[in-house]
Amino acid sequence: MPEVKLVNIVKRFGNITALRGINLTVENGEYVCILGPSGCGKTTLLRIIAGLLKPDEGQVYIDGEDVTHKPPEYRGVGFVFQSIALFPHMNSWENVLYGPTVKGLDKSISHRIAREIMRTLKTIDYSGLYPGELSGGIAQMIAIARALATGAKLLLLDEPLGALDPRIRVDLRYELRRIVKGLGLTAIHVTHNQEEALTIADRIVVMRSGMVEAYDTPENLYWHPKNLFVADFIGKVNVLEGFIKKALTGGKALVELTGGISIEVYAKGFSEGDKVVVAVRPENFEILDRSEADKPNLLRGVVTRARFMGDYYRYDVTLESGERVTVNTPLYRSEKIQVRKKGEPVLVRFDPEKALVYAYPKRGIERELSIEV
Amino acid sequence: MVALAVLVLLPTVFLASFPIVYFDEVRYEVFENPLVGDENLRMIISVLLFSFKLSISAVIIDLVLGIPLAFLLARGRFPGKTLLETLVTLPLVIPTSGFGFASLLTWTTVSGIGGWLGLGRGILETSATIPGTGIPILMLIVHVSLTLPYVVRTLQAKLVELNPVYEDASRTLGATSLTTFRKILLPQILPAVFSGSVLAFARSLGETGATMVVSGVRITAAIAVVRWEFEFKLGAAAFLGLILVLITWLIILPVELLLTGKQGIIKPPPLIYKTGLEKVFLKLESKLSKRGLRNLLYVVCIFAVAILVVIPVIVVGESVVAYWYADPYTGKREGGVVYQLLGPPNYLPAILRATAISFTSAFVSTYISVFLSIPLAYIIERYRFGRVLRAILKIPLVVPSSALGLSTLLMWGPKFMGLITPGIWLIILTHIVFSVPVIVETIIAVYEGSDIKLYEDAARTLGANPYYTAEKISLPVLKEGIITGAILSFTHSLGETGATMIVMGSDIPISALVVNMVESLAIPAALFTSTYLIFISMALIFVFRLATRRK
Amino acid sequence: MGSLRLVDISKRFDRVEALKDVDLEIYDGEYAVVLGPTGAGKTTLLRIIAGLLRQDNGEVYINEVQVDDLPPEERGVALFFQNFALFPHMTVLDNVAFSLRVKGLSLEESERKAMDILRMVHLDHRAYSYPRELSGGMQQRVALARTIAAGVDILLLDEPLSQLDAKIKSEIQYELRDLAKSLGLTVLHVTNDVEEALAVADRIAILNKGEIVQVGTPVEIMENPKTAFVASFIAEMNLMEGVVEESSENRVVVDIGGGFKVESSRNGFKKGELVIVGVKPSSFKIGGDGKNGLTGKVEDWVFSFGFRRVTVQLDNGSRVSVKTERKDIERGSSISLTVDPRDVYLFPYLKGGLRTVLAEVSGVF
Repeated sequence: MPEVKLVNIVKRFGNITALRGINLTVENGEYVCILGPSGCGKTTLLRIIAGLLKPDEGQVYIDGEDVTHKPPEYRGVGFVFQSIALFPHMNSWENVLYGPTVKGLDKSISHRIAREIMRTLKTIDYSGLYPGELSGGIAQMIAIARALATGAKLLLLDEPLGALDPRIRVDLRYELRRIVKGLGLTAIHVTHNQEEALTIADRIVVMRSGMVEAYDTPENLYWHPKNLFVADFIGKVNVLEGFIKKALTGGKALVELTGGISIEVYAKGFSEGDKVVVAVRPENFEILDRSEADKPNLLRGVVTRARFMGDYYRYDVTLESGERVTVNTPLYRSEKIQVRKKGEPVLVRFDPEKALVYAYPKRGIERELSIEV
Repeated sequence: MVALAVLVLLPTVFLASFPIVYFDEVRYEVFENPLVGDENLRMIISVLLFSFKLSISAVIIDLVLGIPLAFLLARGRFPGKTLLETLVTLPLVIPTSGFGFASLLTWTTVSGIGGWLGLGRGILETSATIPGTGIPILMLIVHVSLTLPYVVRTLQAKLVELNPVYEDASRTLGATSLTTFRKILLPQILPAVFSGSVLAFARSLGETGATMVVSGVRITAAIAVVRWEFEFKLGAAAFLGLILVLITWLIILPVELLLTGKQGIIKPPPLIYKTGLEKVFLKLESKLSKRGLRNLLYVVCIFAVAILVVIPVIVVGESVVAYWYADPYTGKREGGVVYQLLGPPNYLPAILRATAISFTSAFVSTYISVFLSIPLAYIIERYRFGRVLRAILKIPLVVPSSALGLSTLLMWGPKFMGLITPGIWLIILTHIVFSVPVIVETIIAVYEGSDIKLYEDAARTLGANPYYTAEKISLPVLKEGIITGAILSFTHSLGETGATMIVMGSDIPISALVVNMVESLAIPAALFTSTYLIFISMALIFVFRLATRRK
Repeated sequence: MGSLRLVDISKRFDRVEALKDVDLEIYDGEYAVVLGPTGAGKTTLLRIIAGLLRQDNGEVYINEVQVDDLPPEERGVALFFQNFALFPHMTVLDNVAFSLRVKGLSLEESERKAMDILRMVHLDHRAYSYPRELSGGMQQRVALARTIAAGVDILLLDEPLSQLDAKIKSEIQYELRDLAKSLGLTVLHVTNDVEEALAVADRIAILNKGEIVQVGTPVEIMENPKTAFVASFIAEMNLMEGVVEESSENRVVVDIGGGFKVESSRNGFKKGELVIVGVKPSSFKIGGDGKNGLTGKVEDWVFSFGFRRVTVQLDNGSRVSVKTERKDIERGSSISLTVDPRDVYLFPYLKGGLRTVLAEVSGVF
């Protein structure tokens, strides 16, 4: 059963170091997403696991075996490409049959394998069609069937949904997870789409500039990101600057924000006077009525942009301090949603436990959040 | 369009009219000669058969060497790749007669490989043939060197265009690199294999310059046309020329029209699946796919390029030095380059005059061709009949140049229009015929490689009218293609021999001069002139590379 | 002034009918979006308006003037190309200045104006770079600047944000709208991305297989999708087939099989009629005791931005997804769901049923 272990993988292209010592273990049966901005080295890493690229340093273990120098055809992995890459001169059926055939399996066995996998993936109806005649979503399902027909238990997916329509992308991600879990496979999936990674993975690797920034479950990454970059990269955060005014009991602290307002947050390991940033996700802000002005952690501001986004309203609010924050109010949270208009003065508030507090980054917030180190 | 028809298309087909209009003459010479009967007809058949045998063998060797080379150039990343690429395509731009002479030296004389190996003679006789086939080895070697670039370049272009993701996909699906090649790459590049082979075949069939130098007593069809024209056997020459033209038409047109269609993928018949050979193949391929073996194959191919192309150039350069003052073997001053150029044979003025003629005709014909080609490329890309036009335009590229020369001579010359007698003007007119297609093809390649149609649309929606768009957007984007085409056409013109010899009259350009020198056994002079010609061409290419590299 | 009116536009390519009788009016100063899956005919529509393609039928009016016989350069619209189509041999500044030069402005004047526009998109510092030296996001802004520089009142934007990373895009889309509004432009923007459409549009027209199927403001479309296709295309919606069992003024009860009946407050359906029932994942309440009780088993759940998306295998065999902020949902456990009748959508049944709808959404024909 496949377990993937990467030890100190380094890869350089000319003067550019694409990967700077990656250590990573993917457990058997796990669905792992590698998430990162373009150019962070995530595809390079996947290609190294597949054997399509050789690392300059480090080892790749699949199932405990060192496969660093094994060519891709002997690694027993299934690879799914962003560009889908169905062989244009073969129809769907022949594409799926390709893996078993080049393995030298008997005709009857290869046909049985291909038929079974295409049935499982509900693509058997498209057997006779050529890649040019298929829609993107179906074509990608057939490409997945093709990868699985080799008998691979480890599926490597390089932006598998990237070339598809946004709407299909959403449907297919659940389908993809269902297939992987249903067949008991191990999957490593590269993407730059945060929502995709969150909703599909058991664990997410966040990469930046050839390094692993975080490796954790979606919920932990969302609620307890280990640094500001990760917090901002997994969905957006609003960053407020301030300093620790006073330590309170119960792990709480009082932070005075730029503009003089004091708020309560959970913050450990800081001493009074430390410069900090408080990060709050747009959906963790609430907008209150004037009547509730006695609650804690209140910020005053004016709505500068209001958009209806289907599931939620999105407001840009300019605070009294001059900082601009984004507030998302989901429709399902309450029975009645009061719609705010541009120019309307509002009160914005958040729960202390939903705010993330970090030491003020040494190199400044902008550099900290930049996709390059 | 009129200029196009008169200058380019008509000369290509004019040859056909001759055997019809002057049928008596043809019949007299070919079929019912009172002196020799149908001797000439039998000659024609025998040279044709010989030419076919030679050209087909050359194409087979081209494919064996060309496929790995094309793959290496398209996919490989290694130091010296540009050098290898330049070397492979060198025979396209160096004058063939000069190159033929260099090969002759290399293989059959003591100055060449034989001498290097300490044999004291050449390693080949000019007349040596491959046992059992009657194909002269030297001639085959020269034809392979001259036609290999067509196969390599066509395949390389196709491979570069082909997304390597299919190869990656195949590897991850468990196929070894050779299996991947057979099952994934080959079906997709098959059209390119065909069109490359057809080009190479046609080129080999029509090759004149180098062939005349190395032919010894054997003559190919293309040479026969030139010889007979010199012997005033116009009827026989025209008849043979027409056959050659027809053959190339028959091969090119269907291939072009079929393969340039949208599909572009040929599905190989599933023979192997059925016979159960598949498993044997798979096993064999998995054994042969070892890295070491693959690298060995590459090394062999690179070595072949070195022998075929590089060594002749070195040999000829080295020989000029050796022969500078005197024949190094006999010590005779009469056998030295200096003696032949400046002494009593006094070849120098002839060389200078030939240089002037060559450059003038190459420059003028290229200049005119550029102006004809730009609108032509535009028409081909914009209109439905463009595809047919493009296929027709490929004909001058592949029709044996001696037949083409004969055709222009017949058309403009005393026999028909009587407008122009053989000489530099006729050379220019002839060269335009094949220069236009060369330039058009390169422009089209750039046109299709860039999103120029999109840029034009963008310009229009930004308020530019069609003329402004053409001037400010289309032409600048195509500039590179136009320049590349012009350089190719210029060097081609400089080195062309077959057609040129037929139409030159007394204005002998430098490429023809080499042939004349070899035929009159003025070896040192030929040596010098060949070297001179080769190095001028190489210098041109080098300057061109430098100029385009900056981008 | 910039208004745009399309009357009965049809276009056919060989066997494919790309556009069928498209009628659409866009008012002066409006930001309109044509939203539809790939292959719906969006780009064809823009190219017809721009004059790069000639329709088979119908008329295009720009500012109430019929423009069908005018070449692109005289129509007074500027088209933004999906892959930018920046002139590769010109600098950023020359690209932006192109339309100004075309108009006959002096070199100095056009460069000065182009620079002003570049400043607006924060790219004045890269004015002398060539397009290929810029990142995708920057190229997008240059292309936008070039389109704006054309100085026309109507912009046609062909998937202007499709080449950008998800994260950059989710920030830049709002700015695009602000910019158009601040310049008082009329915009027709086509996209296949619902979020993008919602972020920028005053009005959205949904295009499917060459036909406009619904036009309305974002709120109208999201809250009252007319067909199962629209509902399923604009948002994730659980769709089920059913038969109307009872029908009265504002109460319809539908049998969805397995003994489950759901009540909806939409009307207009007759007893015995086949219908498609739609429920948004966020409309389900877990474990409540309201109306429309459904039971099933939790098959899987995944986490998203602050909530969980739970896949439930209902006891009648169909599968629904449920959006919840609760954290105590276990895989494999039993679950009961309720949904307010006001949140139950009913759509006319289509030939081929649910399968056809889903196939249309995923672009399978």
